[in-house]
Amino acid sequence: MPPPSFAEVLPAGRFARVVLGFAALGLGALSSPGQTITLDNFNSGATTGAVVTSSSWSGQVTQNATSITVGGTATNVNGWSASRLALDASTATYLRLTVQLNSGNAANTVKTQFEDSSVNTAVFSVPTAALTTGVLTQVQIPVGTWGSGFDPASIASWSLGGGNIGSAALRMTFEHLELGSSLLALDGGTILTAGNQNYTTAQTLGGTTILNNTGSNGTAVTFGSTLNGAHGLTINTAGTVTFSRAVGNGTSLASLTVAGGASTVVDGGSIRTTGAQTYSGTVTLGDDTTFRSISGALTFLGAITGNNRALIINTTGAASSLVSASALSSFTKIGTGTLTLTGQSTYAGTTFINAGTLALGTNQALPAAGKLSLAGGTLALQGHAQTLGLLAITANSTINFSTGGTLVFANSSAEAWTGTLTITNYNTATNTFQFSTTSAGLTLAQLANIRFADYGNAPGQISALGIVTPSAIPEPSTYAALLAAAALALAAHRRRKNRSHSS
Amino acid sequence: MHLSPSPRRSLLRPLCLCASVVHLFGFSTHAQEGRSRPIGYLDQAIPTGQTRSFSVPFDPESSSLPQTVGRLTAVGTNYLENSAAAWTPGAFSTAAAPYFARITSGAHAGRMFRIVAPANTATRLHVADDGVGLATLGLETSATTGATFEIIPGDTLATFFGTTASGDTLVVHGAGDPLAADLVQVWGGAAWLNFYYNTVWQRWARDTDQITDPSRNNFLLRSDRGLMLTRRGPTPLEITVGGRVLATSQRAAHGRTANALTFLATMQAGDITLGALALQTGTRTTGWVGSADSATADLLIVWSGSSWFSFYYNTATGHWQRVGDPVNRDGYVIGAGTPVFVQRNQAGSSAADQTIVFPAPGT
Repeated sequence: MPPPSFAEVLPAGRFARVVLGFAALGLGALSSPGQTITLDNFNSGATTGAVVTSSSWSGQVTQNATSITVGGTATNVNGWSASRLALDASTATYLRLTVQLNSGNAANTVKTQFEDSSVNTAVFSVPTAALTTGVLTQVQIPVGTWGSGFDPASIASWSLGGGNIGSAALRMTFEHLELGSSLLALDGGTILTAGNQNYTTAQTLGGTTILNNTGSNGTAVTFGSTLNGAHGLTINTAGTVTFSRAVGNGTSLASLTVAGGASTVVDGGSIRTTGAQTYSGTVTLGDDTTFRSISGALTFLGAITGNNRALIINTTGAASSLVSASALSSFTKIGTGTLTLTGQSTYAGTTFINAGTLALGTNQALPAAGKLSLAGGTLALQGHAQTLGLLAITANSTINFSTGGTLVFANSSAEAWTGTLTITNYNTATNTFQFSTTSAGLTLAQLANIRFADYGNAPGQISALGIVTPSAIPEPSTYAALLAAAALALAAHRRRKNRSHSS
Repeated sequence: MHLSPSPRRSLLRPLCLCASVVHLFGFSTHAQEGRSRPIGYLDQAIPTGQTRSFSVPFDPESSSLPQTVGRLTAVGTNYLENSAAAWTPGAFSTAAAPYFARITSGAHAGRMFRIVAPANTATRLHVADDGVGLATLGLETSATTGATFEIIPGDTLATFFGTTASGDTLVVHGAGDPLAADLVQVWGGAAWLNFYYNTVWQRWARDTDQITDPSRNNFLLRSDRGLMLTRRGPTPLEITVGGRVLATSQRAAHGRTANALTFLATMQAGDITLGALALQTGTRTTGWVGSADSATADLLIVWSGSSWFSFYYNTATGHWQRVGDPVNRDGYVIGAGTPVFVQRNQAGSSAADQTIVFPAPGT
């Protein structure tokens, strides 16, 4: 029985109204590199499929210029189908669908059912919970597993809809349906990924793109090659996101957000953005890695596991944060921005602060036995207690105490100190600055390189217990009194001098 | 090889009956099985113009071919093996005469697998596992202690409902127009596959077929699944099917992508209530989602004769109820042979996730 024509199923008078409504959605045509089989473009007068006769969609489908809108009393059956086809989809790896939920929809899935020439079936589905009402969304679903006995080389028919038995209202707009051998280009808009996504070739963002993963059918998103483009990329998944090659090394991404609790694997050595980077889950390094944001924040909401690799955080913009890091061969903070460690890290490698500020957001944020090498940056205790291993100074650097801050190093007398160490926000009454537990914790030359900014840049002195304090013991208030007295003396001297000149 | 008509299709004839009736009338003893299973038959009547859900709650007699009862000696990703067998290669692998292998002992007693291509060898049956991971199930394998199995005939549209071919009987109403013929609907996972017997073409056809399309005579009717029948003939249709009542629980594989629907035969030879079916219990399903909110609960959906009734297990009240109706429906009766849609809200991937254990009839 041939499918009915549009004249049979479309109510008169609804066409123009919906065309105008749809134009406001503003999403362009799909860009889909690689071989594709267009199942239906839903273009007016040129659709491949048609309303299933006697289904609840009959009379409830409105033909738009490049889409159909299902409404009225239509229910969540597969109400749109094409039959008597002869499609060879044996090379297809993805089913791609462009769909929009409309107000009033109660169907909980969008399903496409394929039937081969022997009437074996294969079904691919997307939960509507992953779609946003009123937003036209591109969906791509892996079709690698068609199901036992199904022959993708002889697809004879397909149907589309809610995939159910008609128990709920279906309100959707369908714009495109195709099978392809590659993933959609990341050219902007929201792409719903309903399964593992593997971008094997180099990708360039053509627009701000959101990859939403339904999480129901496999959740890995893998970039097997480079990723560039001056646009933002957000990946929402509960699975693993892997960057096998450098990200943003050619053209920095505007921003990168790995959301949804995904774990991130960074094997490419570098992720560079002009704006923010946010990682909602754990980050695992497969190589020495630099995270670089030119003006945005780097936010690591999960721990970084280094696999004995070097981690470099380069921030120059907004305040950044990292929960913790482990198994790093080294950790380097560069760039003028501030990075706060909010949890406790456990790596054995050296921590380098070459520029900007590494702030402690909790007690013992840095590994207790780890070496700290200050090469021009600032360690900000923010009032927390921290025990460390050795301290090396290779350029003028700063340690910023706050009320209650305690900093204890191991005996660092054998370490090279080639710059001054400025101590700020330090008070002998509330802070502890210590090197081992003996006076041999630092050499006299090292002590001379210390400048206690709040004590007139006094150099350090070390006690028998290794406590380092300003060598000029007077309290800050005493310094103020001395300065006032000196000013008075200077004024009296000038008055006397003026009188002698005038006499 | 079994011959048409179906060994379970003991009688299908136009007759007016208003309810389904199950009859148990004896025992079947298979020589190699060494124990008996009760046999019975089920009548179901479909008045003109009405639609019924339908499944066969019996196994047919095991195949009359040699050595169709035995023990598993090896299991692979897509095959079952009995090293003691000497089957005729290909005997169980033709589209016109499909077969199933039912496991009859061991931890997976009650599972059933379709025998599929490639063709069986003298000792090996290639089977479809419906995604449960055949090799990972842990089916017992040994010439002496391995899980027992039997090979049972399956049905196609032609073997179950007949044809107009010489020597055969078409037991449904055929027509040249699909809208005038009895309609047989098989759930395809997301949509119905609609079949009818085209009396002009003298073969089973899909409702979308044209004469140049292939015959659908050999379309497989899975005995572990249900179907829908719409009677359009001028008189009511009575379907009477017979076979052996299951001695073990039916372990049914079902789709476990989120919100997937599977139309399952419960293999209950007698009526059973929702409370007795008890799919919410751990012995019947793994991770059945009950909820106070039907929107987040797993559903069991039953054809009432004119509409679908959706039930869910309300964990707040501790009973089954219909969506939108707080009344306790633990006592709702699912008739013998009535298939049920199962819709699991969440995805599941393990074999246990994908298995529903329906109670053994009579337990």
